[in-house]
Amino acid sequence: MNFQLDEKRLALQAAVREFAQNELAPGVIERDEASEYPLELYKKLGSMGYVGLPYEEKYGGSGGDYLDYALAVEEISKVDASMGISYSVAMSLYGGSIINAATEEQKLEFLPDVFSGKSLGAFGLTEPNAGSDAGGCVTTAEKKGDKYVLNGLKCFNTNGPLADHFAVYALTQPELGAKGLSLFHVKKGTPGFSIGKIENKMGIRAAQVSELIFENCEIPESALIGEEGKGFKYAMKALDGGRIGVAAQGLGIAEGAFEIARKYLMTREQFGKPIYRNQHLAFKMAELECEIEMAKYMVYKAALDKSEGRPYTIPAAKAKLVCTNAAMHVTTEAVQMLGGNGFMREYHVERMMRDAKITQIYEGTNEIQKLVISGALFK
Amino acid sequence: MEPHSSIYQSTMEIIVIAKQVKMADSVKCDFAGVEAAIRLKRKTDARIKVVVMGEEKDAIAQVRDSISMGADSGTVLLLENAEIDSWICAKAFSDYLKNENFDLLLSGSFPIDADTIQTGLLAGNMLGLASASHIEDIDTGEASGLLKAKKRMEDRVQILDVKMPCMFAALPHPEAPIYKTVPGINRAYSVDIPVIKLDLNDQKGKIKVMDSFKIGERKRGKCLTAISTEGAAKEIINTIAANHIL
Repeated sequence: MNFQLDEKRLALQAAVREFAQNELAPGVIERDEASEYPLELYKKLGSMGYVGLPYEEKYGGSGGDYLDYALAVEEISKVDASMGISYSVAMSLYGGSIINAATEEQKLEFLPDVFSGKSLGAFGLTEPNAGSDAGGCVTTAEKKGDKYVLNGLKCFNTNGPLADHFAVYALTQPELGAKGLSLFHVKKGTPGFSIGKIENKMGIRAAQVSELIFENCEIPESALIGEEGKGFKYAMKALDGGRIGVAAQGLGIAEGAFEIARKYLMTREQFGKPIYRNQHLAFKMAELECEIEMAKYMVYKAALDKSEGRPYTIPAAKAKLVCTNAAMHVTTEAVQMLGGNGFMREYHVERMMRDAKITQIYEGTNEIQKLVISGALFK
Repeated sequence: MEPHSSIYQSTMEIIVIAKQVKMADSVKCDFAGVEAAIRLKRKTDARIKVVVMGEEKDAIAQVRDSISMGADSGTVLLLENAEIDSWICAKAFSDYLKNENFDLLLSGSFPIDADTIQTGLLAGNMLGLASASHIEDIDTGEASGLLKAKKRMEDRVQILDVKMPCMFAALPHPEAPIYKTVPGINRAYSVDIPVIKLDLNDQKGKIKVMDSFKIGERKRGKCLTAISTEGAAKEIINTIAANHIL
């Protein structure tokens, strides 16, 4: 067992950190306030090979692995959690859906633009009445000749308004419920496909989240990914990968807030001394440091399990649960430790606290993670 | 100096030299030279080799960082526990470089020898190369075999046309950092980096630094508005004359 990242991974981690600090940090508060996504910065990240990290070069990736990718999501999310989730959705949920089930020809057609960061991918599974119960979808894909006709509405789609490529789950046999769910690739601009309401959110405000509306949207039968009726399985597998991305995002948010608090405690003086010399605060930081380190080991392990071909459903659920709870806890404590300043936007931690909340909800709520973990305990 | 010149037909050969400087608790790495080389490589076909002098671990790390940013290869000149001055340092670089083919030799301007800007220029001089410091930008020249370089002065820039092979000490551009790329990192950790041990025991230093001064910050220019064309022309002529340019 080796807890040390090798030199190459450290170099990659340092490189993403440098980019995030130099390029993403300026303007992060303004982007949050204006709900503006920095698409050009995302494309710049892609041009340097950091977007398609976990995928093969022939599909536009960089030939790294899932731990490289988790390290990148972590570093980006230390500074800008909105970019962190946008990146994670494009790679884990869109990319994961296609790479797990598509034919070689489909992979070569649908992946390179997204993995090279030239465009974004999105994932359409959730519906107004199918959240945690993802099998309760009602969006349909009716086969008509050599086409499928999509009808329905997907909600809470990260990257929806910006993406060019969509992995959409719809029922080909509605009477079978989850067993009738199939996966399709839909291109932006397909007639009958439109972007609905763009959400006004509490956190990750720079990320663009919207409805996807399908009204007699015809797609060729070649847009079916994998087999009819296997969509639910494909979605769950993509979500397993997505949980590693969100875990890394939560870890990054926690670390970002922790470092701001650490520096603040060393420079802020009250009663004639830096406030870290109050043992209550120093001990609080010691506890948070341990919480972050535990979270880190769990997400790195889950990422390595996936990269090295071991089962990762349970490790991913554990990492997601622990890392996102750490994000919520650390950011809340950071706001408290910064006092009145912590409540103000220019100190960043209030934004991080708002961003942290959603990490406990999406990619399966943390209650769903407990269902997954406990389900394996009591088989 | 034909012995140092590649036959620059389609690929320009660039060598970047950097000497690591030990500070109190860290090693100061100079990337201005390699950044200038990469900027030039983006304009023309070029191959970049970095030669870093320092202790093994830190020097290899600097070579890897340089390759991650866009250099093609690198070599370490190993310096073990030796206190050397700029002259010895330049001599060591020039001894190594006299057997190398290159069109352009680059160094940084400041950290290479603790802000005295001597090592690169001395090495260039020892190799008989036309040399210039404080270079902000380099472009391929209008005629074959020439480089066009923008040299920053206190209050103006000079545009130099320099015949290759030549040596430039480049200024850093902190406003436009060059980032490491994933293909660069992959290359940096897969190539061999030769380490050549330097024997400098019998070398005697020749330079005593009395003091050194960095180039001053450029003054903000004056913007002429709400003025006639004739008045503006007169004002510009007066400013040029007052600065002894005319």
